[in-house]
Amino acid sequence: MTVSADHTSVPRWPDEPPDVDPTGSSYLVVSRGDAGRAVALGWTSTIVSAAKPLWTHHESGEGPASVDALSWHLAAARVGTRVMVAAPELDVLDVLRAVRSAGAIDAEVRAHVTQTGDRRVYCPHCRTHTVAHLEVGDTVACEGCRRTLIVYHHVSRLNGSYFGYMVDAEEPAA
Amino acid sequence: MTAAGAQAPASRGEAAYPRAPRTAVREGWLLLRVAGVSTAGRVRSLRLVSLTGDTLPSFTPGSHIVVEAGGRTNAYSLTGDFLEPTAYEISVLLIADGQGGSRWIHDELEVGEELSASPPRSAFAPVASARHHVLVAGGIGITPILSHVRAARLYRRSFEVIYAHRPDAQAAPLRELQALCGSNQPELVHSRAELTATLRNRLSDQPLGSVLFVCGPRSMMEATETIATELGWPAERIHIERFSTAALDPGNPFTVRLSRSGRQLLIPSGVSLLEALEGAEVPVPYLCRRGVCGECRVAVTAGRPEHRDLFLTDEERAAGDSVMCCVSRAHDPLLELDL
Repeated sequence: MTVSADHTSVPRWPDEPPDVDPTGSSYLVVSRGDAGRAVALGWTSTIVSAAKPLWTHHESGEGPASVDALSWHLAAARVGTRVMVAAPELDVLDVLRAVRSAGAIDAEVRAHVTQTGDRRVYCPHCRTHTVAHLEVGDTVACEGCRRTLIVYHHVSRLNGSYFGYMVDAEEPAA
Repeated sequence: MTAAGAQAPASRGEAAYPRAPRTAVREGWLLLRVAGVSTAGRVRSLRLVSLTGDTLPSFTPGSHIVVEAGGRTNAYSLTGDFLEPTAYEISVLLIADGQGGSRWIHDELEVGEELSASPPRSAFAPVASARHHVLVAGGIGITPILSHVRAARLYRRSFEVIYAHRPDAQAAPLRELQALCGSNQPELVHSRAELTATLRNRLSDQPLGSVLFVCGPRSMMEATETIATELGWPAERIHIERFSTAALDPGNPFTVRLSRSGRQLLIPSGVSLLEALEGAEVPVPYLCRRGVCGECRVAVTAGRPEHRDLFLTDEERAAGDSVMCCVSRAHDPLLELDL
Protein backbone atom coordinates (compact mmCIF):
# COMPACT_ATOMS: atom_id res chain seq x y z
CA MET A 1 0.00 0.00 0.00
CA THR A 2 1.65 3.24 -1.10
CA VAL A 3 0.52 6.47 0.40
CA SER A 4 1.97 9.97 0.45
CA ALA A 5 3.92 10.79 3.58
CA ASP A 6 1.69 13.82 4.06
CA HIS A 7 -1.42 11.68 4.35
CA THR A 8 -0.51 9.09 6.93
CA SER A 9 0.05 9.01 10.64
CA VAL A 10 2.36 5.99 10.33
CA PRO A 11 5.55 7.11 12.09
CA ARG A 12 8.70 7.38 9.97
CA TRP A 13 11.49 6.62 12.39
CA PRO A 14 14.93 8.04 11.65
CA ASP A 15 17.70 5.49 11.01
CA GLU A 16 20.11 7.04 13.51
CA PRO A 17 19.35 7.33 17.23
CA PRO A 18 18.56 10.91 18.32
CA ASP A 19 21.01 12.79 20.55
CA VAL A 20 20.32 13.48 24.21
CA ASP A 21 18.44 16.78 24.64
CA PRO A 22 20.95 18.80 26.70
CA THR A 23 18.27 21.16 28.05
CA GLY A 24 16.65 18.54 30.28
CA SER A 25 17.08 18.65 34.05
CA SER A 26 16.58 14.89 34.58
CA TYR A 27 16.13 11.85 32.37
CA LEU A 28 14.20 8.59 32.17
CA VAL A 29 15.77 6.08 29.75
CA VAL A 30 13.97 2.89 28.75
CA SER A 31 15.26 0.16 26.44
CA ARG A 32 14.47 -3.34 25.24
CA GLY A 33 16.65 -5.90 23.49
CA ASP A 34 20.36 -5.86 22.73
CA ALA A 35 20.10 -3.17 20.05
CA GLY A 36 18.06 -1.00 22.41
CA ARG A 37 20.53 -1.51 25.23
CA ALA A 38 23.45 -0.40 23.05
CA VAL A 39 21.68 2.85 22.13
CA ALA A 40 20.56 3.46 25.72
CA LEU A 41 24.13 3.00 27.00
CA GLY A 42 25.30 5.74 24.65
CA TRP A 43 22.61 8.08 25.99
CA THR A 44 23.23 7.27 29.64
CA SER A 45 26.96 7.90 29.38
CA THR A 46 26.22 11.35 27.92
CA ILE A 47 23.74 12.08 30.72
CA VAL A 48 26.08 10.84 33.45
CA SER A 49 28.94 12.97 32.17
CA ALA A 50 26.60 15.99 32.27
CA ALA A 51 25.96 15.10 35.95
CA LYS A 52 22.17 15.10 35.52
CA PRO A 53 19.78 12.85 37.47
CA LEU A 54 19.00 9.66 35.58
CA TRP A 55 16.71 6.63 35.92
CA THR A 56 17.14 3.73 33.52
CA HIS A 57 15.23 0.57 32.88
CA HIS A 58 16.15 -2.28 30.54
CA GLU A 59 14.07 -5.28 29.49
CA SER A 60 15.40 -8.31 27.69
CA GLY A 61 12.20 -10.34 27.45
CA GLU A 62 8.73 -9.78 26.05
CA GLY A 63 5.73 -8.11 27.64
CA PRO A 64 4.63 -4.76 28.96
CA ALA A 65 6.98 -4.61 31.97
CA SER A 66 8.92 -1.59 30.69
CA VAL A 67 5.81 0.59 30.58
CA ASP A 68 4.68 -0.58 34.01
CA ALA A 69 8.04 0.32 35.51
CA LEU A 70 8.08 3.68 33.74
CA SER A 71 4.54 4.64 34.74
CA TRP A 72 5.44 4.81 38.39
CA HIS A 73 8.23 7.28 37.65
CA LEU A 74 6.11 9.29 35.22
CA ALA A 75 3.46 9.86 37.86
CA ALA A 76 6.05 11.60 40.04
CA ALA A 77 7.97 13.31 37.20
CA ARG A 78 8.53 17.08 37.28
CA VAL A 79 8.72 19.54 34.39
CA GLY A 80 12.30 19.38 33.12
CA THR A 81 12.21 15.59 32.75
CA ARG A 82 13.13 14.12 29.38
CA VAL A 83 12.14 10.59 28.36
CA MET A 84 14.22 8.52 25.94
CA VAL A 85 13.30 5.09 24.61
CA ALA A 86 15.20 2.64 22.40
CA ALA A 87 13.22 -0.50 21.59
CA PRO A 88 11.19 -2.30 18.91
CA GLU A 89 8.35 -0.20 17.50
CA LEU A 90 5.62 -1.88 19.52
CA ASP A 91 7.38 -0.98 22.79
CA VAL A 92 8.21 2.52 21.60
CA LEU A 93 4.54 3.19 20.78
CA ASP A 94 3.56 1.88 24.23
CA VAL A 95 6.11 4.08 25.96
CA LEU A 96 5.07 7.16 23.94
CA ARG A 97 1.45 6.50 24.85
CA ALA A 98 2.27 6.28 28.56
CA VAL A 99 4.50 9.34 28.45
CA ARG A 100 1.91 11.48 26.67
CA SER A 101 -0.87 10.44 29.00
CA ALA A 102 1.38 11.50 31.89
CA GLY A 103 1.40 15.01 30.40
CA ALA A 104 4.65 15.02 28.43
CA ILE A 105 4.77 16.82 25.09
CA ASP A 106 6.70 15.79 21.99
CA ALA A 107 9.56 18.17 22.82
CA GLU A 108 10.25 16.14 25.97
CA VAL A 109 10.44 12.69 24.35
CA ARG A 110 12.99 11.13 22.01
CA ALA A 111 12.67 7.64 20.58
CA HIS A 112 14.73 5.19 18.59
CA VAL A 113 13.08 2.18 16.96
CA THR A 114 15.43 -0.79 16.75
CA GLN A 115 13.11 -2.97 14.66
CA THR A 116 9.64 -3.00 13.16
CA GLY A 117 7.54 -6.02 12.37
CA ASP A 118 5.25 -6.74 15.31
CA ARG A 119 2.28 -4.42 15.07
CA ARG A 120 -0.82 -3.96 17.16
CA VAL A 121 -4.02 -3.61 15.13
CA TYR A 122 -7.20 -2.12 16.50
CA CYS A 123 -10.51 -3.63 15.44
CA PRO A 124 -13.23 -0.94 15.42
CA HIS A 125 -15.91 -3.62 15.11
CA CYS A 126 -15.25 -5.35 18.46
CA ARG A 127 -12.60 -2.99 19.94
CA THR A 128 -10.04 -5.74 20.43
CA HIS A 129 -6.33 -5.25 19.77
CA THR A 130 -4.50 -7.99 17.87
CA VAL A 131 -0.68 -8.19 17.88
CA ALA A 132 1.02 -10.01 15.00
CA HIS A 133 3.96 -9.77 12.64
CA LEU A 134 2.39 -7.53 10.00
CA GLU A 135 3.08 -4.88 7.37
CA VAL A 136 0.75 -2.03 6.51
CA GLY A 137 -1.66 -3.42 3.89
CA ASP A 138 -1.58 -7.00 5.25
CA THR A 139 -4.68 -8.72 6.52
CA VAL A 140 -5.09 -10.44 9.87
CA ALA A 141 -7.86 -12.31 11.68
CA CYS A 142 -9.07 -10.23 14.64
CA GLU A 143 -8.48 -12.08 17.89
CA GLY A 144 -11.78 -10.79 19.24
CA CYS A 145 -14.30 -11.39 16.45
CA ARG A 146 -12.34 -13.28 13.74
CA ARG A 147 -13.22 -10.64 11.14
CA THR A 148 -10.55 -10.21 8.47
CA LEU A 149 -8.91 -6.83 9.15
CA ILE A 150 -6.72 -4.90 6.78
CA VAL A 151 -3.87 -3.00 8.47
CA TYR A 152 -4.54 0.61 7.45
CA HIS A 153 -1.92 3.40 7.24
CA HIS A 154 -3.14 5.16 10.36
CA VAL A 155 -1.52 4.92 13.79
CA SER A 156 -3.28 6.11 16.92
CA ARG A 157 -1.06 8.07 19.29
CA LEU A 158 -3.65 7.49 21.97
CA ASN A 159 -3.43 3.71 22.07
CA GLY A 160 -0.29 3.01 20.05
CA SER A 161 -1.99 0.81 17.50
CA TYR A 162 -2.57 0.60 13.77
CA PHE A 163 -6.12 1.06 12.61
CA GLY A 164 -7.78 -1.96 11.03
CA TYR A 165 -11.12 -2.50 9.39
CA MET A 166 -13.06 -5.43 7.96
CA VAL A 167 -11.82 -5.74 4.42
CA ASP A 168 -14.34 -8.27 3.06
CA ALA A 169 -17.56 -6.79 4.43
CA GLU A 170 -19.07 -6.50 0.95
CA GLU A 171 -18.44 -10.11 0.02
CA PRO A 172 -21.13 -12.75 0.53
CA ALA A 173 -20.47 -15.08 3.43
CA ALA A 174 -18.95 -18.38 2.41
CA MET B 1 -37.28 75.21 19.86
CA THR B 2 -34.77 77.99 19.59
CA ALA B 3 -31.42 77.78 17.91
CA ALA B 4 -29.70 78.63 21.19
CA GLY B 5 -31.30 75.68 22.97
CA ALA B 6 -30.02 73.18 20.41
CA GLN B 7 -26.38 74.06 20.91
CA ALA B 8 -24.36 71.27 22.49
CA PRO B 9 -22.06 72.24 25.32
CA ALA B 10 -18.41 72.20 24.32
CA SER B 11 -16.83 69.11 25.83
CA ARG B 12 -13.51 69.61 27.51
CA GLY B 13 -10.33 68.24 26.04
CA GLU B 14 -11.49 68.29 22.43
CA ALA B 15 -8.86 70.81 21.53
CA ALA B 16 -6.02 68.95 23.23
CA TYR B 17 -6.66 65.47 21.86
CA PRO B 18 -7.88 64.37 18.45
CA ARG B 19 -11.06 62.36 18.90
CA ALA B 20 -12.20 59.75 16.41
CA PRO B 21 -15.48 60.70 14.76
CA ARG B 22 -18.34 58.58 16.10
CA THR B 23 -19.31 57.24 12.70
CA ALA B 24 -15.85 55.86 11.94
CA VAL B 25 -16.15 52.48 13.66
CA ARG B 26 -13.98 49.98 11.85
CA GLU B 27 -15.68 47.07 10.18
CA GLY B 28 -16.29 44.32 12.70
CA TRP B 29 -15.42 46.53 15.67
CA LEU B 30 -17.67 47.25 18.61
CA LEU B 31 -18.97 50.58 19.78
CA LEU B 32 -19.01 50.49 23.58
CA ARG B 33 -20.23 52.87 26.25
CA VAL B 34 -18.25 53.62 29.38
CA ALA B 35 -20.58 52.47 32.16
CA GLY B 36 -18.21 52.80 35.07
CA VAL B 37 -14.83 54.24 35.93
CA SER B 38 -12.73 53.82 39.04
CA THR B 39 -9.23 55.06 39.65
CA ALA B 40 -6.77 53.75 42.23
CA GLY B 41 -3.33 55.29 42.08
CA ARG B 42 -2.03 55.11 38.50
CA VAL B 43 -4.55 52.45 37.42
CA ARG B 44 -7.92 53.39 35.98
CA SER B 45 -10.43 50.57 35.55
CA LEU B 46 -13.17 50.85 32.95
CA ARG B 47 -16.43 48.99 32.63
CA LEU B 48 -17.55 48.99 28.99
CA VAL B 49 -21.05 47.92 27.92
CA SER B 50 -22.87 47.55 24.62
CA LEU B 51 -25.07 50.46 23.48
CA THR B 52 -28.10 48.16 23.32
CA GLY B 53 -27.71 46.63 26.78
CA ASP B 54 -27.17 43.17 25.28
CA THR B 55 -24.43 40.87 26.49
CA LEU B 56 -21.11 41.19 24.70
CA PRO B 57 -19.34 38.41 22.77
CA SER B 58 -17.81 35.76 25.02
CA PHE B 59 -14.05 35.46 24.93
CA THR B 60 -11.24 33.07 25.73
CA PRO B 61 -9.58 33.85 29.08
CA GLY B 62 -6.39 35.86 28.54
CA SER B 63 -7.89 37.76 25.59
CA HIS B 64 -7.43 41.49 24.98
CA ILE B 65 -9.29 44.17 23.09
CA VAL B 66 -7.74 46.94 21.05
CA VAL B 67 -9.23 50.29 22.08
CA GLU B 68 -9.19 53.55 20.17
CA ALA B 69 -8.01 55.99 22.79
CA GLY B 70 -7.32 59.59 21.95
CA GLY B 71 -6.17 58.86 18.41
CA ARG B 72 -4.08 55.85 19.46
CA THR B 73 -4.95 52.16 19.37
CA ASN B 74 -3.93 50.37 22.57
CA ALA B 75 -4.37 46.74 23.60
CA TYR B 76 -5.79 45.99 27.04
CA SER B 77 -6.45 42.60 28.63
CA LEU B 78 -10.01 41.77 29.62
CA THR B 79 -10.15 41.08 33.35
CA GLY B 80 -13.83 40.27 33.91
CA ASP B 81 -16.27 37.46 33.19
CA PHE B 82 -15.63 35.76 29.86
CA LEU B 83 -18.91 33.89 29.26
CA GLU B 84 -21.62 36.15 27.79
CA PRO B 85 -20.31 39.12 29.75
CA THR B 86 -22.59 42.07 30.46
CA ALA B 87 -19.48 44.28 30.35
CA TYR B 88 -15.86 44.24 29.26
CA GLU B 89 -13.54 45.30 32.07
CA ILE B 90 -10.08 46.69 31.44
CA SER B 91 -7.48 48.26 33.73
CA VAL B 92 -5.30 50.99 32.27
CA LEU B 93 -1.96 51.97 33.77
CA LEU B 94 -1.15 55.64 33.27
CA ILE B 95 2.03 55.99 31.20
CA ALA B 96 2.69 59.69 31.64
CA ASP B 97 5.44 59.85 29.01
CA GLY B 98 3.85 57.34 26.60
CA GLN B 99 2.15 57.97 23.27
CA GLY B 100 -0.93 59.50 24.92
CA GLY B 101 -3.47 56.66 24.80
CA SER B 102 -3.44 55.89 28.52
CA ARG B 103 -3.28 59.61 29.37
CA TRP B 104 -6.42 60.19 27.31
CA ILE B 105 -8.23 57.36 29.12
CA HIS B 106 -7.15 58.76 32.49
CA ASP B 107 -7.69 62.47 31.84
CA GLU B 108 -10.40 62.74 29.21
CA LEU B 109 -12.66 59.73 29.12
CA GLU B 110 -15.81 60.00 31.21
CA VAL B 111 -18.76 57.79 32.13
CA GLY B 112 -21.39 57.78 29.40
CA GLU B 113 -18.96 58.37 26.55
CA GLU B 114 -18.56 55.93 23.70
CA LEU B 115 -15.41 54.39 22.35
CA SER B 116 -14.68 51.84 19.68
CA ALA B 117 -12.89 48.61 20.37
CA SER B 118 -11.94 45.49 18.47
CA PRO B 119 -13.70 42.24 19.32
CA PRO B 120 -11.70 40.21 21.86
CA ARG B 121 -8.53 38.67 20.45
CA SER B 122 -7.05 35.57 22.05
CA ALA B 123 -3.26 35.18 22.13
CA PHE B 124 -2.70 34.00 25.72
CA ALA B 125 -5.20 31.18 26.20
CA PRO B 126 -5.09 28.63 29.03
CA VAL B 127 -4.18 25.06 28.07
CA ALA B 128 -7.22 22.92 28.81
CA SER B 129 -5.19 19.71 28.87
CA ALA B 130 -2.48 21.01 31.23
CA ARG B 131 -2.10 19.33 34.59
CA HIS B 132 -1.26 22.58 36.40
CA HIS B 133 -1.06 26.29 35.52
CA VAL B 134 1.75 28.42 36.97
CA LEU B 135 0.65 32.05 36.50
CA VAL B 136 3.35 34.68 36.96
CA ALA B 137 2.50 38.39 36.83
CA GLY B 138 4.40 41.61 37.38
CA GLY B 139 2.78 45.00 38.00
CA ILE B 140 -0.09 45.79 35.64
CA GLY B 141 0.67 42.47 33.90
CA ILE B 142 -1.77 41.01 36.42
CA THR B 143 -4.70 41.88 34.11
CA PRO B 144 -4.75 38.78 31.83
CA ILE B 145 -3.85 36.60 34.81
CA LEU B 146 -7.08 37.72 36.55
CA SER B 147 -9.09 36.16 33.76
CA HIS B 148 -6.92 33.02 33.87
CA VAL B 149 -7.67 32.68 37.59
CA ARG B 150 -11.40 33.12 36.90
CA ALA B 151 -11.23 30.30 34.32
CA ALA B 152 -9.18 28.05 36.60
CA ARG B 153 -11.69 28.49 39.44
CA LEU B 154 -14.70 27.99 37.15
CA TYR B 155 -13.33 24.83 35.55
CA ARG B 156 -11.64 23.62 38.76
CA ARG B 157 -8.20 23.57 37.18
CA SER B 158 -5.08 23.33 39.28
CA PHE B 159 -3.22 26.66 39.39
CA GLU B 160 -0.93 28.89 41.41
CA VAL B 161 -0.17 32.61 41.10
CA ILE B 162 3.13 34.37 41.74
CA TYR B 163 2.63 38.14 41.71
CA ALA B 164 5.49 40.64 41.76
CA HIS B 165 4.43 44.20 42.54
CA ARG B 166 5.47 47.26 44.48
CA PRO B 167 3.72 47.25 47.86
CA ASP B 168 2.00 50.57 47.17
CA ALA B 169 1.02 49.99 43.53
CA GLN B 170 -1.77 47.99 41.87
CA ALA B 171 -3.82 47.92 45.08
CA ALA B 172 -7.14 47.46 43.26
CA PRO B 173 -6.09 44.60 40.92
CA LEU B 174 -4.37 42.95 43.90
CA ARG B 175 -7.59 43.02 45.94
CA GLU B 176 -9.46 41.53 42.99
CA LEU B 177 -6.80 38.84 42.60
CA GLN B 178 -6.95 37.90 46.27
CA ALA B 179 -10.74 37.73 46.16
CA LEU B 180 -10.70 35.55 43.03
CA CYS B 181 -8.05 33.17 44.35
CA GLY B 182 -10.10 32.16 47.40
CA SER B 183 -8.28 29.59 49.49
CA ASN B 184 -5.48 29.31 46.88
CA GLN B 185 -3.87 32.69 47.68
CA PRO B 186 -1.19 34.19 45.41
CA GLU B 187 2.45 34.23 46.43
CA LEU B 188 3.34 37.95 46.63
CA VAL B 189 6.90 39.11 46.01
CA HIS B 190 8.19 42.67 46.20
CA SER B 191 11.65 42.66 44.67
CA ARG B 192 13.57 41.19 41.76
CA ALA B 193 15.67 39.05 44.13
CA GLU B 194 12.57 37.73 45.86
CA LEU B 195 10.96 36.93 42.51
CA THR B 196 14.07 35.09 41.28
CA ALA B 197 14.26 32.99 44.46
CA THR B 198 10.54 32.17 44.32
CA LEU B 199 10.66 31.23 40.63
CA ARG B 200 13.73 29.01 41.14
CA ASN B 201 11.93 27.25 43.93
CA ARG B 202 8.52 26.85 42.29
CA LEU B 203 9.61 26.12 38.71
CA SER B 204 11.94 23.33 39.82
CA ASP B 205 9.07 21.39 41.35
CA GLN B 206 6.03 21.30 39.06
CA PRO B 207 4.35 18.12 37.84
CA LEU B 208 5.06 17.01 34.28
CA GLY B 209 2.24 18.50 32.21
CA SER B 210 2.37 21.95 33.84
CA VAL B 211 2.36 25.15 31.80
CA LEU B 212 3.79 28.56 32.63
CA PHE B 213 2.09 31.87 31.79
CA VAL B 214 3.96 35.14 32.27
CA CYS B 215 2.81 38.73 31.86
CA GLY B 216 4.63 41.80 33.12
CA PRO B 217 7.47 44.15 32.28
CA ARG B 218 9.67 42.92 29.46
CA SER B 219 12.77 42.38 31.62
CA MET B 220 10.75 40.44 34.17
CA MET B 221 9.28 38.18 31.47
CA GLU B 222 12.72 37.55 30.00
CA ALA B 223 14.17 36.74 33.43
CA THR B 224 11.32 34.29 34.10
CA GLU B 225 11.81 32.64 30.72
CA THR B 226 15.54 32.29 31.41
CA ILE B 227 14.99 30.66 34.81
CA ALA B 228 12.39 28.26 33.39
CA THR B 229 14.68 27.30 30.51
CA GLU B 230 17.59 26.67 32.89
CA LEU B 231 15.33 24.37 34.90
CA GLY B 232 14.53 22.33 31.79
CA TRP B 233 11.17 23.81 30.76
CA PRO B 234 10.76 23.37 26.99
CA ALA B 235 9.68 26.51 25.11
CA GLU B 236 6.32 24.88 24.28
CA ARG B 237 5.36 25.04 27.97
CA ILE B 238 6.16 28.74 28.37
CA HIS B 239 3.56 31.31 27.34
CA ILE B 240 4.60 34.96 27.28
CA GLU B 241 2.18 37.89 26.86
CA ARG B 242 3.98 40.70 25.06
CA PHE B 243 2.38 44.11 24.78
CA SER B 244 5.42 46.33 24.69
CA THR B 245 8.32 46.22 22.30
CA ALA B 246 11.71 47.74 22.88
CA ALA B 247 12.44 50.94 21.01
CA LEU B 248 13.72 49.91 17.61
CA ASP B 249 16.64 51.52 15.83
CA PRO B 250 15.72 53.58 12.77
CA GLY B 251 17.21 50.96 10.40
CA ASN B 252 18.83 51.25 7.00
CA PRO B 253 17.06 52.71 3.96
CA PHE B 254 15.81 50.25 1.35
CA THR B 255 13.57 50.14 -1.70
CA VAL B 256 10.25 48.36 -1.99
CA ARG B 257 8.75 47.20 -5.24
CA LEU B 258 5.01 46.55 -5.29
CA SER B 259 4.65 43.58 -7.60
CA ARG B 260 1.02 44.17 -8.60
CA SER B 261 1.39 47.81 -9.61
CA GLY B 262 5.10 47.82 -10.39
CA ARG B 263 5.54 50.93 -8.22
CA GLN B 264 8.74 51.49 -6.29
CA LEU B 265 9.02 53.27 -2.95
CA LEU B 266 12.15 54.35 -1.10
CA ILE B 267 11.90 53.67 2.65
CA PRO B 268 14.26 56.09 4.40
CA SER B 269 15.91 55.36 7.72
CA GLY B 270 13.53 56.19 10.58
CA VAL B 271 10.37 55.70 8.48
CA SER B 272 8.53 52.40 8.83
CA LEU B 273 7.45 50.36 5.84
CA LEU B 274 3.83 50.80 6.95
CA GLU B 275 4.20 54.60 7.13
CA ALA B 276 5.72 54.67 3.66
CA LEU B 277 2.90 52.54 2.26
CA GLU B 278 0.34 54.81 3.88
CA GLY B 279 2.13 57.83 2.45
CA ALA B 280 1.85 56.27 -1.01
CA GLU B 281 -1.85 55.57 -0.35
CA VAL B 282 -1.42 51.81 -0.50
CA PRO B 283 -3.95 50.53 2.06
CA VAL B 284 -2.64 47.93 4.52
CA PRO B 285 -4.66 46.77 7.52
CA TYR B 286 -2.99 47.45 10.85
CA LEU B 287 -3.74 47.63 14.55
CA CYS B 288 -0.92 47.82 17.06
CA ARG B 289 1.84 49.38 14.90
CA ARG B 290 4.47 47.72 17.06
CA GLY B 291 4.91 44.21 15.75
CA VAL B 292 2.65 42.42 18.20
CA CYS B 293 -0.79 41.87 16.72
CA GLY B 294 -0.12 40.35 13.30
CA GLU B 295 -2.66 42.50 11.48
CA CYS B 296 -0.28 44.17 9.00
CA ARG B 297 1.28 40.98 7.60
CA VAL B 298 2.24 41.42 3.96
CA ALA B 299 3.44 38.71 1.54
CA VAL B 300 7.04 39.02 0.33
CA THR B 301 7.81 37.87 -3.21
CA ALA B 302 11.52 38.73 -3.39
CA GLY B 303 14.31 39.96 -1.11
CA ARG B 304 15.14 38.98 2.47
CA PRO B 305 13.04 40.64 5.20
CA GLU B 306 14.67 41.85 8.42
CA HIS B 307 12.12 40.64 10.96
CA ARG B 308 11.75 42.88 14.01
CA ASP B 309 8.29 41.80 15.16
CA LEU B 310 7.16 39.54 17.99
CA PHE B 311 4.39 37.88 15.99
CA LEU B 312 5.92 35.48 13.46
CA THR B 313 7.16 32.06 14.55
CA ASP B 314 10.77 31.02 13.96
CA GLU B 315 9.68 28.87 11.00
CA GLU B 316 7.74 31.77 9.46
CA ARG B 317 10.77 34.04 9.88
CA ALA B 318 13.02 31.49 8.23
CA ALA B 319 10.56 31.08 5.33
CA GLY B 320 10.91 34.82 4.68
CA ASP B 321 7.71 34.95 2.64
CA SER B 322 5.89 37.47 4.79
CA VAL B 323 6.71 40.53 6.84
CA MET B 324 5.03 42.64 9.52
CA CYS B 325 5.33 45.97 7.79
CA CYS B 326 4.83 48.13 10.91
CA VAL B 327 8.28 47.34 12.37
CA SER B 328 10.21 45.09 10.02
CA ARG B 329 12.59 46.19 7.28
CA ALA B 330 14.84 44.52 4.69
CA HIS B 331 18.28 42.93 4.70
CA ASP B 332 18.52 43.39 0.95
CA PRO B 333 18.48 46.77 -0.82
CA LEU B 334 15.27 45.72 -2.61
CA LEU B 335 12.22 44.02 -1.12
CA GLU B 336 9.32 43.01 -3.34
CA LEU B 337 5.85 42.83 -1.80
CA ASP B 338 2.67 41.23 -3.10
CA LEU B 339 0.76 44.53 -3.09
